[in-house]
Amino acid sequence: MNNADPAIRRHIQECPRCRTAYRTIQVLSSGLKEIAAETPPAGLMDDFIAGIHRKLEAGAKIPVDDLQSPGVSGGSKHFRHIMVAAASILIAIGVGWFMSKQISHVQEPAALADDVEYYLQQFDDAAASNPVAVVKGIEYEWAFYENGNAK
Amino acid sequence: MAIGVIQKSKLVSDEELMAAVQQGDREAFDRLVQKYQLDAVRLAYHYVRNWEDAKDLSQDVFVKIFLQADKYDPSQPFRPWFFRVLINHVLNFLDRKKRVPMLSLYRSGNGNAEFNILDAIDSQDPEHQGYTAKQAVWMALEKLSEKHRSVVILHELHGLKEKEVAQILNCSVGTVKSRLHYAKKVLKKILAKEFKTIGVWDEM
Repeated sequence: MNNADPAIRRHIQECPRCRTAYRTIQVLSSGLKEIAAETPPAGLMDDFIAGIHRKLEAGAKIPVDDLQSPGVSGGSKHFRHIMVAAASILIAIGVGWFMSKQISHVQEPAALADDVEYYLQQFDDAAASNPVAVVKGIEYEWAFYENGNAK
Repeated sequence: MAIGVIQKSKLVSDEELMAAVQQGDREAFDRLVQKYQLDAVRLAYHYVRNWEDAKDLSQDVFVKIFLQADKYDPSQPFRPWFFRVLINHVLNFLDRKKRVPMLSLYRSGNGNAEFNILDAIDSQDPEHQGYTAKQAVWMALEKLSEKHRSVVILHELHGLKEKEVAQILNCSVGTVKSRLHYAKKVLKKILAKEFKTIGVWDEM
C-alpha cells in the first residue's frame, strides 16, 4: 500500500472493514508465497534414491489401488451412487428455488455477481497498484459476504 | 527401449524413460527419480505437512511406478500421470490417518480446545510469538475441501498451469478455473472471519 493514493491509504487505515479485507488479501498472498518457498530440511534428500532401492530390494508391498484419478479411490461405488442420486435431487430442488427467485426478483442486478468477480480479480492482480479498485471491491465483497450471496 | 539404448548424454523425454522402465531399466528409473524427487517430496509435503512422511510417501510412489510400470500408457504425458499417482497415494495415506496430522498443529497444549492461530499471532505470549501469515494460510487451507485444496496446491504453490492441473486431477480446465476462483474466495473469507473475531493485525 506504500504507493497508494494518500486518501485511499487513510481510508483503508480508518475503515475497519476495508482494512480487514485489505490485510486478508495481503496475508493470503504472502502466506502462499512463503509456503511455496518452503524446502526440505538439510539432509532429507541425501539418501532418497538409496532408500528407494532398499525398498525395492526388500520387496516393498505398496497398495496398488491408487493408479487412477485423485479422489476416485476413496469410498465404495454404492456410496457414490447414493451420493449422485442425492445430489441430483438437491440440484433439482436448487434449480426450482433459483427459478422462483429469479421470477420474484427480476430487477435484482445479475451484474452484481459479475462486479464481485471483477473486483475479486482486481484484488488478486492489482491489490497494491490499484487501490481505488481495491476499496470498491472491498465494499462489494463485504456486501457479498454479509448478504450471503456467495455463488 | 532397454539399457544401453538410452545414452547417458542424450536428452530423452520422460515418456521414453518410462518406456525403458517398463522394460526393467533401472538406470532410466533412477533418472526419473532424480528429476522428480524434489517435486514429489514438496508436493506430498503440501498435503501431509511432515517432511519425513512426505519423503517416505514419495519413495513409495517411485517404488510403485517401478513395480507397476506396465500400467503407464507411454502415449500419455508422464508428469501429470506421476503427480496423479502421488496425490492418490498421499490422499489414501491421509484417509488411513483420518486426516488428523494437520489439524493437530492448531490445537492447544491440552489437546482439547481449538487453537486459534490468529490469537497466537497477536499474542504477546513468547510461546506463541513468531507465527506468520504462513501459519494462518495453512490453517485456512486445511479448511478447504480436498478438491479445492488440490487446485491451490498445484496451481498456487507449485506453479502448474491450469491445463496441467486439469490433466492431473482428471477434470476440465474450466473446472480448475472455477475451483481455483472459489478456493481463493473461501480462503479470503476464512481469513477475514478470523480477523473479525480478533480485530485487525497491524503487521505480519
